[in-house]
Amino acid sequence: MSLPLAGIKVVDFATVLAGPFTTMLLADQGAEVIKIESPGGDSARGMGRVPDSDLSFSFLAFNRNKRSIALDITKPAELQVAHRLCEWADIIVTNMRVDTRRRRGFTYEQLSALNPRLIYVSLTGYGDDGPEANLPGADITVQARIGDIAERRLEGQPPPPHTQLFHIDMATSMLTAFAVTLALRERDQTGQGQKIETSLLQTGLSLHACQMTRVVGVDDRYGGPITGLPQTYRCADGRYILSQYINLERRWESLCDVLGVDELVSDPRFATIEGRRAHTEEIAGILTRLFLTRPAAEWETILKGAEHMMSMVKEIDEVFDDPQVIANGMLTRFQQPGVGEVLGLAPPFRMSSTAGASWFRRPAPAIGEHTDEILRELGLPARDQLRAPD
Amino acid sequence: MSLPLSDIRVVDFATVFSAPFAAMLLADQGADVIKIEPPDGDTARTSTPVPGTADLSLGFLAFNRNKRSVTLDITKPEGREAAYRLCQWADVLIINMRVDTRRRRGFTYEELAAINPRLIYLSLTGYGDEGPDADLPGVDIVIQARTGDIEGRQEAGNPPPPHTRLYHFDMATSMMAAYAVTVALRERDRTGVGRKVEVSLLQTGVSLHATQMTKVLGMDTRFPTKAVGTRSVSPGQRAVNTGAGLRQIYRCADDRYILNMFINTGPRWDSLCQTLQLDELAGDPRFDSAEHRAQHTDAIAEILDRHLLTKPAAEWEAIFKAAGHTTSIVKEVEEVFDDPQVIANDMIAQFEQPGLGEVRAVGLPFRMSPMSEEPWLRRPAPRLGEHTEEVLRVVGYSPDEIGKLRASGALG
Repeated sequence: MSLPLAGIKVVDFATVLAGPFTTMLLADQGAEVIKIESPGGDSARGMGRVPDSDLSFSFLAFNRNKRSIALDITKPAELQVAHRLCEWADIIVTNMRVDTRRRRGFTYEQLSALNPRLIYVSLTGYGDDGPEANLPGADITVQARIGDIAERRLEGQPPPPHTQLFHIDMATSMLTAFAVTLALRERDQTGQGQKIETSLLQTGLSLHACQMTRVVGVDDRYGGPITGLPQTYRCADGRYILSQYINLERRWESLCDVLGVDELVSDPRFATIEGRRAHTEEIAGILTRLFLTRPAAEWETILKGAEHMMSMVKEIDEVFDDPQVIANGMLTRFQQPGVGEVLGLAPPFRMSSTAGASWFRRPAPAIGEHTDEILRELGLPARDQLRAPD
Repeated sequence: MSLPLSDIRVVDFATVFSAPFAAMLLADQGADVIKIEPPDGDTARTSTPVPGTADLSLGFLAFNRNKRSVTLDITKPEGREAAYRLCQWADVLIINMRVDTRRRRGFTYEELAAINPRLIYLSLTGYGDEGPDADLPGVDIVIQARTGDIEGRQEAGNPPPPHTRLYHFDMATSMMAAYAVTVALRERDRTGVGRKVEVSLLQTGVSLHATQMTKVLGMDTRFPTKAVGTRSVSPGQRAVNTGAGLRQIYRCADDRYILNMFINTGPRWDSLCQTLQLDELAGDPRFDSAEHRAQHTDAIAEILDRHLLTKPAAEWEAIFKAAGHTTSIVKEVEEVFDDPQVIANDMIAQFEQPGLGEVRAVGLPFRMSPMSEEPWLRRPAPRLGEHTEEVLRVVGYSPDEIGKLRASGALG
């Protein structure tokens, strides 16, 4: 059985993370993806450089299974090639600024005139409309803008720093891949392409959907600062564990039973939820002392044995060795010329019918690695022989 | 033009946030979604209900619009039979039942594919369908600990920060699930055959960290998690983020904070000096090259600390935006509802919820044009079992049979 998106042609006319991850999600499902890069290359190629190479971790993460063509679209002959690729494609993903699209001739209206079946994805920082439609956006500014940073602030402290974990970029790619596939299925029925707009800002709101749901006139909101019993504790080996069931309300008896703390069971002050809430600090003190008596791995075995939802607080480097991650085939390895063997992530979900199909086809491309090959496929001469249209 | 999924039927046989959000993403695109609830309802209904209601919480309202609700007790044979009838009717089943419970109750993919080969069966779990933890319950905050999210935010000398109730892992898993289901639907259009799709919080969690989860074998280096200006606690974090080096969050005159992408290389540095009109920076030999600046990031941060304290955050935001910088005030969630950019792009929806009033929530997560003429917002979140009889009629139960089901206790 072939991959689900085999035969679908995608132009990745985007830079950095969210756009390229979107097209990789499509590529990993079988789509043929051509990445148009400027002669200097996608700026992600310089973000977090792999020592002694001209590739970066952030580029390797999101550009496997693609070919690269380098084009300088400020030159008419090369601009024309980019337009030819948009005629060839089923999908274009662009994160070009809205004003630049107009200047360079890459608006939806211009491209759909060339190719009415084209699905045009506009992936922006803040949406295609509004006062900031033309401003550049980035994951970290959206972290500040949607309350992500403020929500993690501890009482009496300045806001914590932003993170480079880029959840908002990644989630935007996931939503965009959903939207694109919807549009493809619709096009199967109608024959028509369409424009899709996604943005980091809009995805950010969806990530905070619980907090972003309110009843008008009711002063009640979801979440807010973490209160009550801490759920993270230090253990004998200096490592930390976190458990969902360390709380005063649900599964209290099970918690006491699993931890074997008679102190908590026998004390009448802790017999009711209200009583426990009134003595949160004392209970936290007892648990703090208790968890310090065994190493984290032992607590993990004990709590998991009782089917408590828990994990050690792990470093990213440990995640590569998590047996559950390995057992579900979440990791992959591939050879990257000039770098060596790359350890990274397999496609983010599994489908039963493609269990045997080989989704991996090629490593991340060098800048313009396939330029002449792609030009030949379009029936054009090599890049250095391209001529401007009359 | 109708909504893209108006021909698709979905059974949302799931609880709490992630799977119901996946079903709502499909519902908002036109799918007919029926939620099967146990007689006491999805647990999301009753955890912290909105004052004055028993079974409507903000966490339930957020993810259950555009659905109908049927209550079934599947521990009773009659209730299980009705659930099977719904699985025969459906194109897509979304299930987050534990893997061992599925086997016990008869809801594995193999059993359901036998009665409906066209069914797309979405298994949404904490940790994946295989492996040592496959039968364990999973939850967003545990994934925060397990995928390095909490550690990635820890500062040197401090204990790990608390987890957050911003459920990024739940929400992103829903997004992934919606993509996977749509890929499978499109394939079924051509092949006629359904399939099983597996997503998990753990797998989505590692994908959210894909930049850090890419390594070169034999090399210690990887992409850093910590923001620049944060003291690193992990010796593994040595990859250099080109163009970085400066702290990005500063306090302003009104005690609010501003985040700006302060870059200490190339034209972005020149633009920074110009925008701030800081001769101190431009003239100082310690700052005359990218290499020198990288050696004196603390000194630059000190100057910026003093300078940014001279104006309120909103003024700085206007100044940075006018210069084309990437910036935002560090905002509270409350303020997001009033963000003019959010409003201009229709990112917020409002609907009438019987018994509660007007609900404001996140709208569609993306826009498609031309817009469907069919409105995407068709109904509010259902009351528990609100559509039980209506739904049973859809799958062929007669009034008589419904009466018998009710008498058997299978409807709760």
